[in-house]
Amino acid sequence: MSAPSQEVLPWIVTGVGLWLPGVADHRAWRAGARGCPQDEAPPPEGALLDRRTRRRSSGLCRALADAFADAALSADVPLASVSSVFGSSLGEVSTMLTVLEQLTRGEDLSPMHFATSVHNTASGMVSISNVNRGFTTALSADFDTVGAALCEASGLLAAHGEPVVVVCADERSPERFVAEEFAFDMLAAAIVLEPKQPGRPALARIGVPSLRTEAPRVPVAPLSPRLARNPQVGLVDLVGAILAGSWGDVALDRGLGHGWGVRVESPDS
Amino acid sequence: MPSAPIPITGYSVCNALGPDRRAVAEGLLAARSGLGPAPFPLPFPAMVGAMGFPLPELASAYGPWANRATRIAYQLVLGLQAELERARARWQPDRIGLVLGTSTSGAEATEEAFRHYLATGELPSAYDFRKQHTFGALADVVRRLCGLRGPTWVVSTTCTSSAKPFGSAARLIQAGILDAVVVGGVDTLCSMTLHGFQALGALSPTVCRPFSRERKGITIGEGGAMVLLERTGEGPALLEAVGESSDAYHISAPHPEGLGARLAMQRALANAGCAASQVDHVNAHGTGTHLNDAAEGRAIEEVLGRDVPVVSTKGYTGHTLGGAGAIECALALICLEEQFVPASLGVEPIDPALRISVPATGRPARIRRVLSNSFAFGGSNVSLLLRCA
Repeated sequence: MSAPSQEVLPWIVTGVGLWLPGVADHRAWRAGARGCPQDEAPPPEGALLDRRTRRRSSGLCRALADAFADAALSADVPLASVSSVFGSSLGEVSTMLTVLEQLTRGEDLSPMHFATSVHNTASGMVSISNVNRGFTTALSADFDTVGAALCEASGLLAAHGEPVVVVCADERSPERFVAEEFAFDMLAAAIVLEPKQPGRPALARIGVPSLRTEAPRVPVAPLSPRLARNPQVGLVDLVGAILAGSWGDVALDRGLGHGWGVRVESPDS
Repeated sequence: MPSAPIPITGYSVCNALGPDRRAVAEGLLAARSGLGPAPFPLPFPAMVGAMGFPLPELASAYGPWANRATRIAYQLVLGLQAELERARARWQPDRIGLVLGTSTSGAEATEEAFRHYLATGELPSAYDFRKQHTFGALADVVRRLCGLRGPTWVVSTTCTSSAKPFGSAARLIQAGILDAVVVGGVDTLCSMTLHGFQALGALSPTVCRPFSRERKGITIGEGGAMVLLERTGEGPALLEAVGESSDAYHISAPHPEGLGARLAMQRALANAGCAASQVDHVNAHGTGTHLNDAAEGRAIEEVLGRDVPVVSTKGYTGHTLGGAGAIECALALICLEEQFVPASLGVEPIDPALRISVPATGRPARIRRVLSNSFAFGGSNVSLLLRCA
């Protein structure tokens, strides 16, 4: 895609968020944590979700909620009105497979499992918990999900000029369906984008995502293979680049997508 | 300030009424229901909106991705071929995007693979989870079938899945990021959704009867639609505005007072700079459950009044879930082109608690604008405002 204003970098980044096994938030990342095997880490808390909603939520939903909260609270955007774009390749795949197993074994389906097996479960749960009646969506584009989510956010920013939280995650790949060499562990990342405004503190300036150019890429953080294979790792790389002040073109996948990238620069540039 | 309308320069549709625009329009104008018995056994009484006609086979290069969802999508691409060819000649291929909606994607193929797994301990050798099941695979196949190189993704917000892409496309075109976007959606009949809605107590044992006093729930259908939106161009209608909202109430039940539905309709009208009195017809979400129809009826009355004709087309096609937003956009386009308000099948006797006008018979009418509603799990609400070109 050739966007109209790549030279200008129309948006600013005002908050970032992370949840990886052993990395509870972006402050832990900034302190040097880079994750551990999922089985050795405490699960995500989902503290943003109200108690009733949290009880019904999956690990994926809680990881998305944690990364969302980390980014939105650090940007100090209003939780009751901020727009959000939720991205995931496989979505609530473990809940869906539980429903499928119940169905195939001829058991009665759990209504709660069915209702929370859908792709927009986290998007709905976060809006319910924050009593947010604004815009939210849930999308998927396999290894291009991060590029797609930032593209969707660019449209929202251009149309409404209000902050947008982009949050992407995939839970651990389903063992029976994904071969070991492609298997991945759960991670989640988030970023808050806003139009430039005088006096608003920012972490970076950022452009509209585009298909990869031949320009040199910002180096990515070392992660374990099981984290690096997660389809949403590109958003971790983007957050990592912003936190490290590594400016330039950031790849939004690690070679398995169609090659989306985005340019980030210093907020003072 | 209202945003500029986006030209709709072509569309294709298929569902239980037939394989193309002509067959679907004929069914709609003739007040013919496409609902009937399920094509596979179910342990409870239910009707469905199945597509009983043959679907085209994908070329062998697409073999690993072939499933019912991609074949329905191929049927739609074939119906939009001339318009796609013109758009590809007009715009750079990387500035034509694709935003599809689905809730099931390849779930029907995964159900079959899972049955095989439980019987044998192994998945079928031809089954590939990434190519058969995932949303991204569906999007990628359709992008290739359409010959596009622009941004491509799937929105999956259950029953608003294929309505929300209209909002995405409008924003991207208005921002100058893209010149054209193919939007649409596809969903297939599968056991998981039928059993799931049965578990929720939302499935009707007979054909659905939206807005009727005797309604007993939804009837699930399958199908899809694709719509080409371009920065400039001529076509049957304009996408005037999109309104989106969240209920922020419950994961699977609508806000009882239709709060989110009301907000979506109001936002569509505000984005268009259009008065409520300028809406000539509503294609309601109208699923046929007590809660949904009551909430939507209340919201429509509050926003648009009691006189505008409100029709649910679920009695023709069933609730096509992730395909519903795009299919009902196509049905609304047919109404605009034919200047016709269809019958809301099964409505009589109308629920006396609803204070809206739901026609039991179709009639010619002067229609300039149609509002098409889609509401979903997670409290997701979308209203599309369409008007004659």
